[in-house]
Amino acid sequence: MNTFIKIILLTLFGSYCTFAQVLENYESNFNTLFDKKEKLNPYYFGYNPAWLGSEVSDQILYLKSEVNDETGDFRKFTDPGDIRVYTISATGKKLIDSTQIFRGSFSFKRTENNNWQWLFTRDYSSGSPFLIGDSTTGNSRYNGILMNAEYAARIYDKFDLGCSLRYYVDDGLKLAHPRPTSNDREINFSTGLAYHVTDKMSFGIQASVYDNVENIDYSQDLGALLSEIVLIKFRGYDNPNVFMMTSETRYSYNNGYSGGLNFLFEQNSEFTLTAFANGGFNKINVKDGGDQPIDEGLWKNNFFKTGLASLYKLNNSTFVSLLYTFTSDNDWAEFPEFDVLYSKNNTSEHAATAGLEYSINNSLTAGIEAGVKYTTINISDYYSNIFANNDAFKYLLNVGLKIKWSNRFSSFISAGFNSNSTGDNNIEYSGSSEYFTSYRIKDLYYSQAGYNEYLFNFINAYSPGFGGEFLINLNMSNAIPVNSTIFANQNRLNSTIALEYRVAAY
Amino acid sequence: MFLYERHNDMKALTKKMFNKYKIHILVLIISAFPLGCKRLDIDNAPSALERGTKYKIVLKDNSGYMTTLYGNNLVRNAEIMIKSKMQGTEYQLTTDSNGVAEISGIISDDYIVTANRWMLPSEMKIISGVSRGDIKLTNTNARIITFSSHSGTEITIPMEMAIGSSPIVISEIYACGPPGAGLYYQDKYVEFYNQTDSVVYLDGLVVAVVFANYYLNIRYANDPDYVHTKSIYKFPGSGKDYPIRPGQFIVCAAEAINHKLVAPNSIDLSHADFEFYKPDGTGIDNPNVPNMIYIYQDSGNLWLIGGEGSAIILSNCPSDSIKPSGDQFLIPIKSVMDGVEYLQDPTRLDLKILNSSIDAGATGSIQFYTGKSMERKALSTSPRLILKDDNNSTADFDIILHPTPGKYH
Repeated sequence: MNTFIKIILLTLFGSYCTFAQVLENYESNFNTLFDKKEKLNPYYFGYNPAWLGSEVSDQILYLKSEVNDETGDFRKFTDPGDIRVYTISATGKKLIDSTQIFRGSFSFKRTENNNWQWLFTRDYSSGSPFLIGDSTTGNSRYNGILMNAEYAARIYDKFDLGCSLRYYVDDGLKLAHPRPTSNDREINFSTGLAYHVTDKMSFGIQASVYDNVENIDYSQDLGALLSEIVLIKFRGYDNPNVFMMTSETRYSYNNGYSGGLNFLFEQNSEFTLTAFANGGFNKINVKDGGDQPIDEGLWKNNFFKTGLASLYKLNNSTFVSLLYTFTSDNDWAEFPEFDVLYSKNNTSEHAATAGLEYSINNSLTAGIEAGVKYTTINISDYYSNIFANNDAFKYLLNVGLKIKWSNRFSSFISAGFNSNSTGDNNIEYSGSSEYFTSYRIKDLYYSQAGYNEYLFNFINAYSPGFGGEFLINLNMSNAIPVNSTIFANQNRLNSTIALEYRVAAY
Repeated sequence: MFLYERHNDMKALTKKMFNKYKIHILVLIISAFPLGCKRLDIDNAPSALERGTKYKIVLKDNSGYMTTLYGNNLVRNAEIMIKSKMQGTEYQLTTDSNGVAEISGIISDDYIVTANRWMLPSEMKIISGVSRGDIKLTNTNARIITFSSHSGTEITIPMEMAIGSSPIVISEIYACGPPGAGLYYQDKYVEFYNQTDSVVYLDGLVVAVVFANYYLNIRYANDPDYVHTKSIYKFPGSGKDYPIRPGQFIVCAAEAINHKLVAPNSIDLSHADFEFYKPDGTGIDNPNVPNMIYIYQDSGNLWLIGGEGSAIILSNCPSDSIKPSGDQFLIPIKSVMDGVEYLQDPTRLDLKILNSSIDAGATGSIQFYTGKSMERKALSTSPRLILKDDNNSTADFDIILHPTPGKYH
């Protein structure tokens, strides 16, 4: 018998394990109920790696394959017409001993930005106004690998120390002429400390730093020599710099720091309360020019996030939950050479969600979650002389059902409805060029558009009793604008299908 | 066994240290964060808003003419053109009776500034006793000026006296090669134009390509005295053999042949006026077209100018006065009649190779093998064609889709 097949069979049968119950670890689109009940802790809420011990996965290997597709014309101008992301990952966790734990993952990720007009900037939605592209519309793809390692240890009686390292690299290529290429490298390091004051109450402190570099290259190859390239560099919503060039190199140095506090209170399994506050900044420093780079601009975002989540067990079959989050982003862009402010934007969002979960019997659990989100956005683009502000209410409703067909077969199904209604909208511009009035104004219209979103989630888990567990996850959402003449008869459909195989391979 | 013991020892040591210094460690961790942030060079948003500055441009005369006429050195009724280096947006201003022009709502940028104040014959009569109309005050020494809140709201531009402009100007440069013919580049040419109302002579005038090495970052734009070159040709003739009539174009081709026979989208240069024939090169010598006299060219089989970026000068320096310097030759800037620079990215004036007193800006932004050409703008076409010559190619030149040898488009 082929050695490879022998190894596979040995792995499958050697890893013979019985899962007491399937569908104990899955990812629903609920915020505080079902799977999220186990995730009300600072590992998931405010990410402090010191709480790695509260991460819900088992000491098994998770092999996952996922395809996400987002398509439709209800989108910003800068968004690709179709985004398709393929991910294959392997994740595992291991208790090294009673005081140490390690979790690691390795993923391959392919992102296809299809029907993408003009842009070839990987982080086009970061908020930075410094975007580069060319006159062609085409498909771009990014192939990358992601490695993630997390470690936590009990360093002293009541103290846990954790850290995580995320490393990602990819290379990008626009398939249409002039075929620019990009290289991206991202490193993110986080560390956290947890102090367990009592068995019920813990505090934590956490800090993280990341450093990314993206290099976009329009090279002067033979193809570029024989046909014309129009390079477009945006520094705001309007007045892009347009060049007839055959070569250009852009370096984006992207780094950020954040720090935060965590809190967790657990009273047996009756009541759980967790909270976090996190602040920091991201900045992107953009330079153009191959051997003699010059400043293109600096973008910086100061952010603050805080949240509070609680879960109360009314009785053995009923849980109620409450979630509140607040996020604030204040970003600005400047041209360093002249120390002049190009743009200044403020975004804040309050979100509150309440939920109720009820176990009808051992096999059937139902849940409902309702929430409201209030968002305000103020955009001041001094460079382009464009100003916009709006506020929006978003109402959301989720209903879900978890069905345990047998000890080997379980399902989860949920449906949701979001209604996004905008309040006072305002866009001020005058003397703008066609680049804004025909194209990028759509970015602002999009952020001010009211829409309804329909969500559907289906998860099915099956364990044949040997060889592991299989899980399939289907997630769909469809956003349809309401009362919009700009986006009339358009939509944005997002669908994900994931197949996961879980096996006790070690 | 050893590893196990070592592990236990480490744990015991850690426990002991942490027990002893736990308060210190906590304080250290908490304080390290803000200290770390300070170390991180946290940037603050600038207070000056883009387009938020109102600029006052003051022209001050260094020649003494204005003082003689009006009692102060403020240059009134001067025309100012400012052009954004980054975006190419042009603004036209005129100074008031105080020599001041104001502008606001513009982006912060390096602007290419051309300020001209033509002296009236009646004014020159008062100043020098001679009535003449070819004298102007211009900003010879301040061509690129930064407009930003940091540079201040008042911008003072010194104005110098200048006598008219060159009688012969470079009217067109075609260098990129035609489309649809692979890497064909032999159809380059430079065109000259006599924009005076009298005959002038080309005999002995020097055409040189400015030397630079972009890859090694070698350029001599800041040399105030000389243009550095490694490619020099001169017009034949001994005085008055090659006249150029008023309003006449002269085409000097790299190869004076009908390029359409090889590259259908190219041009017929078989009737060019002169040919840059390199004696030791592989180019075709058209016997019906007089050759430019080859003085020096360090490399290449043909007369070569950059397809996307280069600079050309026309000089009246006698060829025997050109100074050798290492592997280069030096042509005095004072002898340059006209010069034009073009760049792949005309906003990168920091990469200029030609001194800004000859050409303050740059034209270009043409890609290889697109068949486009650079042509000087017309100031007027009637009663005869007058081309714009403010020694600023950013403002003086346009890009045209097809070359037009020997004529204006």
